[in-house]
Amino acid sequence: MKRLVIPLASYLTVTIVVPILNGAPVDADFLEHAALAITLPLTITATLSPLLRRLAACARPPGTT
Amino acid sequence: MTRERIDSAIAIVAMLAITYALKRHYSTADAEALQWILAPTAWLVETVLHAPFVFEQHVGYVNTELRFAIAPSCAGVNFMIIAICSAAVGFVSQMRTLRAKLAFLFISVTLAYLATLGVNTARIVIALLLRAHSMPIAGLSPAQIHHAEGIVVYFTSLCALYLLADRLLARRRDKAPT
Repeated sequence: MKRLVIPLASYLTVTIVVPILNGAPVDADFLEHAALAITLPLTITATLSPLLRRLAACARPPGTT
Repeated sequence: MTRERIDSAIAIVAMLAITYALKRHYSTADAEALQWILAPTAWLVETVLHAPFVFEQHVGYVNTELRFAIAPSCAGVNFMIIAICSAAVGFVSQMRTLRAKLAFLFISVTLAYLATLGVNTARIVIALLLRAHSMPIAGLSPAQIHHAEGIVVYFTSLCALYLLADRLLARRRDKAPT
């Protein structure tokens, strides 16, 4: 999760925070966009993180933590 | 504040200036002004699908048979901005000198542009395939499926590119003399 924090934060900033700061109307369309733009990246990050941890553990030389 | 931190801050400010200019250009640009990204994307989609896209003023690249337009809204500029931000925030501090940090930033901009062309092409091709085989997914409308597909393709690609860059830079760090 930690390794993907920067792409996740950049993604959420540009797709959700910047439009709000630019004065985009927070209507039903925007809320629908925000719901998808938050849920899907979080799901992908949560799915990838254990996979990456496992890969990192495999790549680590034996005897190291 | 150490010299290296000041240099990183300068590089981050340069990144913010580049992405701000890009976002400002994108928010006001029409299809003509976005030719620098729409034209190569349309060419790549044409090459993959063997379907011609014709430029229409104020619309973008259109294929009437497929009823699909590569319009300014799907140019992928936001993805390019996100990729530049991720690269700069994630890796600029690993470069030692200001010159190296700025060089890394400009290489990131170029690579982000090329990555955007590839990822956006994949997104458009997948969108057309999904539409051709219109299958209901979790009760979503076709527009919502198109939107969700865009998010999944863009974000997964962003993570993959970030992890690849992390791996390459770690290998470079390991090889560098201490």
